[in-house]
Amino acid sequence: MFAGHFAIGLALKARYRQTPTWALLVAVQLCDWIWIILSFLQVEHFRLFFTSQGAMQLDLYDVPYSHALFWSAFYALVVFLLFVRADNQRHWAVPLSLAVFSHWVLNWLMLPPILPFANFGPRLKFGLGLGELFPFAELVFETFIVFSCWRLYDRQWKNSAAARSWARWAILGVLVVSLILPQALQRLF
Amino acid sequence: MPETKLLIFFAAGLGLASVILTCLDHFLNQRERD
Repeated sequence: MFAGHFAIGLALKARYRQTPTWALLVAVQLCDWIWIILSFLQVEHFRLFFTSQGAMQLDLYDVPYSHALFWSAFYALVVFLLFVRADNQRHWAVPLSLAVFSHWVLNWLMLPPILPFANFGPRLKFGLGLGELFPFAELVFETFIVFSCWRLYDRQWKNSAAARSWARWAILGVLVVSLILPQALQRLF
Repeated sequence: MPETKLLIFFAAGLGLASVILTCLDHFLNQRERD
């Protein structure tokens, strides 16, 4: 999921306008950046497989650091403590830590029970699995998240020159492309 | 390896989308101030 996480970042931007957008967008995807780096380093493992309909699926069977409940909460806490101690960026602490942890929450809502607790402790797996309720459920829920969050973000420009700008629609366009492209690639691979 | 290609695709997609969204948001903030 790309677009849903970015959309949450933009919704947080609407609420916390003093926090830089780039920092929020990095924060909402921090767990995925960690996953990419650790997978390159072969610390974490995943495999690709194809469903009977020919769609490509990711099997995140070994992601005990990047997508674990404990470590996601830990990353959010570290981000909070880093910024809350900084003189000029104290107000970044809450939005950035919320952004970091939102990644796990959104994944928990959408994915089946594949998210581990940690690389230690109870062998629990978390995931509500809304994305597997019915065919294309992930696309339907993610579309809802994208449009709701974009609406929240877009409301801040009311009665200003920005409200008439093409850039608002370009932002929605980028979100829609990042919503559809991974789905399309899954079916093209 | 398809897994490596996928990771590169993911990293490029995440990076590119973040940069474009940040630029567009910056542009909108400028317009609002004008």
